[in-house]
Amino acid sequence: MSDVLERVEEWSLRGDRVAIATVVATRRSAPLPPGAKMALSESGEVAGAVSGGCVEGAVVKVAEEVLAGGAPRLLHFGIPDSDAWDVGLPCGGEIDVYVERYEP
Amino acid sequence: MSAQSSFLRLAREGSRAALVTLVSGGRGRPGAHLLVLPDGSSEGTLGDAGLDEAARRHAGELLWAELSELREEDGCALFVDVSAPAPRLVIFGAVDYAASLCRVARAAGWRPYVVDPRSRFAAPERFPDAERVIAAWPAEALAQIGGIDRATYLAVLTHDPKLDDAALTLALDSDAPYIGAMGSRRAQSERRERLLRAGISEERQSRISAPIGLDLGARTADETALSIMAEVVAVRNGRDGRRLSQREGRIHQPA
Repeated sequence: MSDVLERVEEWSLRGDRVAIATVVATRRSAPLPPGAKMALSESGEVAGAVSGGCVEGAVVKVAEEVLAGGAPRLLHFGIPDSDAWDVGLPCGGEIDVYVERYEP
Repeated sequence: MSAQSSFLRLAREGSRAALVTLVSGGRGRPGAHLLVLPDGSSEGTLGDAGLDEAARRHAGELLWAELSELREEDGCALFVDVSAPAPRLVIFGAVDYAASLCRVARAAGWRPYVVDPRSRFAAPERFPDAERVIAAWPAEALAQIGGIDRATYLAVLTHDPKLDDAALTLALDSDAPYIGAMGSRRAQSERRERLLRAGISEERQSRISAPIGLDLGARTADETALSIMAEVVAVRNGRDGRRLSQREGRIHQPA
């Protein structure tokens, strides 16, 4: 987590606009808990994660829209069982992700 | 500096803080942030005084639970993002077990402290994994680290009745979520008598976890440290430390 925060600081100090996606709610077993974050810089770098990898692509698309001036968005994802991990880890959870611009 | 950027700075530093975001709703300014600190003060606004007050209340509930959560308030969705420092484990007694416990606690992401008034034992080089080694009596040592808060766990390993009792007396007056004490059954029964004579009832003493640790059958100092740390983590998460293979239900959800 602190790694994502370091990147946000670094990109922002450099003058890049930055978007932050945060897991705000989970239902059933989700890969990462509320508060987990992913960040995207204007230059296209990505840090952190909001799931085990199943929804990051879609989140990046929305983050790009937000960086381009779009309003903050609340996204909902159902994670299909087939993509989920096993052995006590995520299976078929759902997550809500809030995507916003970072204001330095 | 925005409330959001203040929060990210505090989170980077490992400080305790909450950022409330107005995710949706008919009041205030959607997307706005309010930063809430443990002393109840706040920075920024959600664009509605009533929502700000509700946000401070929700944040106050979650700051010490150390949970980030979506809260509903009068048709508005508030996301409370919580940052908290690594929990502290204060170990009384600069004994060999303390060095092992520091190592295991550090590996688990905790901040271990060692307290012992005997400066010959409380030497920092004996405890390379400790956040701090404090050569002082418990009252002074605890004052030096800002007292015992709800994220400070205590392990009393001294084997010295005077030091033991001084640490436990303070511990039992505090908000510490965990007080573990090492010692044989006989040492414990003697301690119980001493604390009773000092006016600490059996009922108040029942907060003390003694013998300390989970039943791992530990044979070495490192294994004993693992058993203590396992108990501390279980207490923090509201679990009893049983084997998962013999338990039904969710693995990651609260108990």
